[in-house]
Amino acid sequence: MSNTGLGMTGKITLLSLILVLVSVLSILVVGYNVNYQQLDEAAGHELIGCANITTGLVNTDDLISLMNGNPSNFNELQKGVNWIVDHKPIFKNAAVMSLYGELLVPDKRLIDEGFEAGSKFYIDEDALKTVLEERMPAFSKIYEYGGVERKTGYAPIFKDHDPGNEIIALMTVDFDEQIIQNRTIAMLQSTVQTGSMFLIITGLIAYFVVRRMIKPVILIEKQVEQVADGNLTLQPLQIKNKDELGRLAYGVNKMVENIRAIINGVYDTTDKVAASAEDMAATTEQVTMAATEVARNTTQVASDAEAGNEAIIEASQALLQLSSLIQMAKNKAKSAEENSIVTQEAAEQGKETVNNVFDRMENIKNQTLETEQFISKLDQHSKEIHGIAETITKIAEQTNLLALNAEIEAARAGEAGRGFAVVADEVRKLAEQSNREAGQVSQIIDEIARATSDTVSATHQSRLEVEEGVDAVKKAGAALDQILKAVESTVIDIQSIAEVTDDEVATSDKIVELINSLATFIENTASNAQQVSASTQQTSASMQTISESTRRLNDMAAELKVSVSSFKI
Amino acid sequence: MIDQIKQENDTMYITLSGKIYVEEATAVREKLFPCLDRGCKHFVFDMSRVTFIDSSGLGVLVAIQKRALQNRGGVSIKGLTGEVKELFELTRLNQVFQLD
Repeated sequence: MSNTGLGMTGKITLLSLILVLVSVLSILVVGYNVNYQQLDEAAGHELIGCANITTGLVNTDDLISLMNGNPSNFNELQKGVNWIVDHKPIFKNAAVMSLYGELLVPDKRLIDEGFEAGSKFYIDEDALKTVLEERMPAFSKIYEYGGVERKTGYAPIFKDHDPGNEIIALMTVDFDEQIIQNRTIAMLQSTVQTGSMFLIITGLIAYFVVRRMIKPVILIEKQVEQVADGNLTLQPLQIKNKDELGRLAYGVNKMVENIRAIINGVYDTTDKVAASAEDMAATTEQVTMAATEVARNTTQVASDAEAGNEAIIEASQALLQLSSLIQMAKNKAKSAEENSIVTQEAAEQGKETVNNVFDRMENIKNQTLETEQFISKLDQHSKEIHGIAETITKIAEQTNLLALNAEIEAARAGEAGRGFAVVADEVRKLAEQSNREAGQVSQIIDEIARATSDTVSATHQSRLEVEEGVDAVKKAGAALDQILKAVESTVIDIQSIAEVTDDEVATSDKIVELINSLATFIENTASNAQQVSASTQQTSASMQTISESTRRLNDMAAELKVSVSSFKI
Repeated sequence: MIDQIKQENDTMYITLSGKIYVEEATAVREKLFPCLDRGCKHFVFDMSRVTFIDSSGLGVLVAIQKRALQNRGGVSIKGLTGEVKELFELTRLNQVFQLD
């Protein structure tokens, strides 16, 4: 800061001088006004005194004569008026004036100014009123007339100068207002001289006193200048004053100490801020990368959720179909279970029937065996009969030969043998018949044998078939057993199916609720993902701002360090 | 219950009423699947008098829709109201069927 202007001492001295000057000027202004008024008043009294006295210069008879139109004594009258201004040149004018403001006898100066006898002149109405009412002289206020500022004293001119008589005219005496002013100024001149002396004395005193008072300020100023230049290694000011300057010095010392502490703190803090800013920059970068990753993922989620919206419709259809089929399966399982129970009962009845059939087949088999035995015996008998029939046939053949021989013998015997011939013939015939019958028996026996053989083989066949039948029945029984077991396990399986399909998940309410909550979840996920995406974008933008701020912070820390490096601590 | 099933050209018109549970759903399936096997394309369900339908009924409608789509046709459903309409919305089937 330049030191070219006025110093504190000069300024305070100047201020003191200005104050003294203002005081003097105030005194002058007030004094002027007061003196002016007093001089104005005094001038008024002087004017009326002079006017009153000089009324005696006027011959009232001559005046009345002049007023009545006889000018013969005008010069005489004017001589008296001129005497006033000649005798007292301080007066501007003097004149005898009518009560109506008409110049009856103007003095020579008025004539020089261009007025003449009979001219209209200014008359102060208030003064005139006072004169007429109180029959006493009076003076006007300052007024301007004829290009001049004037003050006039009015004195009544009584007829025959007897104050008991009527007032016939006025003696007027004027001052030029300039005279009052000049007198006022003359009166103030001593005041101005005294004031000037005071001014000089005050200035000198103020200068020396202030210079002494300001000395600690100069010390403080130098100290502060050092601080301003960054020098904080100063010794504290040693000022013993107990006043504001003492406190100021104390404050400056304290301030230097505090600034030193602050600068130290700023050094530490800028290092920490720079380190933090670096950390923050690294973190911000990581967060930005994370946010970018999140943004990419949420975009993917949003797109997946979008696809999910379509998938959920597909899933809804699939679930509903599944639910429908499960419920139908359950329904069918129920009826299948009922049918299986019926089947089971039927199979059990079938098995009972098979058992009966088996028993009966066993009986048939046994009976067939018995029949075979009977037939075997019958065959034995037939063979025996066949042997007897053969014997009978042989006997009959021999009998036939014998009868034939007997017949031949009888024929030889002639008549005597005739009767015998007849018997022999009969015997032969019987023998033939026996032979024939025996042959028939043999034939019948053969037929019987054939029939028996057929029967045996048929019975055997029948037995084999019965046995096969028994086997078949056994197999049927086993099959029915298997059927029963199968039906039983079917019933169990169906019951399991029924149990499975009883699961609440497949119920209509649950499935509808599941679809709705799933769809709502996916729809909400889509919506949330979009919101997250938007938020992430905002986060990214914010992170960029933070990153920018961090860079600025780092720069600011560096700048701050440079700034405080100008301080010596 | 199934009030009416009639065929006009290649479109089946089915009128349902009351509450559609698994029995009714099974009946609808058994009556319409043979038709789908024969190549029926279009199915129009009037459900204005249906007061409830459970998931088995909805599942059958979905199955018919899928089969009809295979036949290059489709299912449209008319007159959904109240709880039934709400069920279509809850299961998002309102986005699957053509609803009039």
